[in-house]
Amino acid sequence: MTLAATSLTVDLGPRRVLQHVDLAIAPREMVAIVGPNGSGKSTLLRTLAGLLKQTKGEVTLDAKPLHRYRKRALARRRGLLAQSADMPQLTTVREHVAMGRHAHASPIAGLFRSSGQASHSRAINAAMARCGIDHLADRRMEALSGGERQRVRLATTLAQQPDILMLDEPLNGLDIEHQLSLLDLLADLNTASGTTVVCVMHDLGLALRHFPRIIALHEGAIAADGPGRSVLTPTILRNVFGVDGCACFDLPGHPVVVCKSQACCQHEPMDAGARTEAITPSLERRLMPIPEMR
Amino acid sequence: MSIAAAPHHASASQATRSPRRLIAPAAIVLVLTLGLAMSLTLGAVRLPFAELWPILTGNGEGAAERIVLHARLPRALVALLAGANLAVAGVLLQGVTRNPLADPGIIGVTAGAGMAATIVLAAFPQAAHALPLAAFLGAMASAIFVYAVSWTPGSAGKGGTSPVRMVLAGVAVNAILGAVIGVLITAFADRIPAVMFWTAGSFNGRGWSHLWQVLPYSIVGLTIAYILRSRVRILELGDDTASTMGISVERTRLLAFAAAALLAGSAASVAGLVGFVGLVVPHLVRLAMGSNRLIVPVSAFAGGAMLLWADLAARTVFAPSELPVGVVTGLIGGPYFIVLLYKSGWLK
Repeated sequence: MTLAATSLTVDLGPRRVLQHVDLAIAPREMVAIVGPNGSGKSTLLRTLAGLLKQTKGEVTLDAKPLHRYRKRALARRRGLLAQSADMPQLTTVREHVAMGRHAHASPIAGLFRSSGQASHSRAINAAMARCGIDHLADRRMEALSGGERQRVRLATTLAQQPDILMLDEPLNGLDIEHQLSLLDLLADLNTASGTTVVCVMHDLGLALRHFPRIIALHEGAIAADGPGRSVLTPTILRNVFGVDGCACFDLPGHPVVVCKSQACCQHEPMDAGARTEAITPSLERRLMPIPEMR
Repeated sequence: MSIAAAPHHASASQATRSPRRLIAPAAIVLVLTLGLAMSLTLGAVRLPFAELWPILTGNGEGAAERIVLHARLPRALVALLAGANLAVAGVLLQGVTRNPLADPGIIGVTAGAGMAATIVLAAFPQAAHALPLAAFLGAMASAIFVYAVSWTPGSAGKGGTSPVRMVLAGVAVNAILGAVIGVLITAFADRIPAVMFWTAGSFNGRGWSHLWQVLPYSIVGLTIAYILRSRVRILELGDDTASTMGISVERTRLLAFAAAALLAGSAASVAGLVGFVGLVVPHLVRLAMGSNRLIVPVSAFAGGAMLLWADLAARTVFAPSELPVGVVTGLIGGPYFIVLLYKSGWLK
């Protein structure tokens, strides 16, 4: 169940968005893909999901190239929580989640009838319970809050019963409480069901806290890949993200925080280059959010 | 928010199967049956209901039997099929274009049929028997053109269409064909009444031959629509999501588009340009049902019932002269829809 990319190159129109990306994601891993805007995060995720065709290189799932999978077979292996917020009209939560069963239903028989079948309703109920939305089953999507809708979308993806769950900036538009509970839910899925989680996100602090492995992209190439401690170094933060800062691991109560206050950085000294730079008020305003300090 | 499963589950999920959901479909079937019975009995020769049964079971006789079996029954069935076709075409197109204002006009079918019919009626009036075929071919040609224009070669991987491009291409094609129709009726000004009457839609004089012309397309189109119904709904989640759920997005769009074109084109070929049904019936059904469940079959029945009643009104209200059926659908259906829209507060 390994998802692997070898010398992956993707052009979108005239622009080369990814070049020579090599990576392998093992079963049960939790991986965050980070990088500044335009670094190719979403393109990488969409190519790994089989939505975009690579220009060069290959993506394989269990050593078999993605394009050799049938669409429905692939849909039973990996699910994607896309960024789009498209919402179907007049749809109850249960109907929305049932759509995730498409790849498991017969291609001819309609899916809404088969949603009555035992295995489908079991999967639908399990996905709703897992996401804590079973009490909303008969509510309309229009009536839900943004956080609840995102949970419904996640439950719909989980109803696909994928081994690999991919998420494209799932925290967008969520308040901090919903961000944290969504990330807890992902961790829970990972430990309880052994689901591999690959998540594109912007918040480095949250990535550090919740993902044992971080991949940092810079201009379409992998700048660093590994445990957060070795990836989010002051050098990477400056060269990739254009900010001066560091990751702190030793503060009591907040194990992982990316910040640039000198108080924090005393615990984990910056490297020589960063240390000499003065911290200006304008840089202070670019501090990463610190969840515990809200 | 807790991650653990909430304690209150199960009970609510069973509500979706309650008989309450069947009230609206049952009412529509009832309205349709009543409309059929009245279509067969009302007219210049008024028949008592009691005479219908022997006629329909083959035990009728005389003028009444001829009127029912050779004029009223086929005409009613043509109206029924045309209504079902237009309504289901509307359901498919509203789903595929993700646009609640979509109707068969939006993919050029209406304008294509209208231009072909105008050419026949204005320039070749002696070929009037070829009118249905010409209208159908015009509708298909125009739909194919709209689909081709909305296709764009993709950057990474395969090319594709997009809902927005489809709608915009349809608007452009409509404008062009509308202009051509304008030129034609200016050049053949004496033929304007014939063109206008056909354009407003009518079932006057439709018989069994017209029914056999539509039926194959109805069967194919309605079957495709029924099979695609859940896929078209999943497309509403966005192309990426639908694709990762195992749906062939472009193939689904093409099939739905083709089915809608067949349905609406064949309806236009025998009914003329009946507006409103394709746009409004899907919404009426959603408002009545409060959901998208069963939208394809219920819309088919509702569209059939609507045109059946509209045709009944068109030929009886000002008898012996006939109103165009499109006028009736607009006059009665329009205000009714406004009332429903106002009361429901839907699409606010």
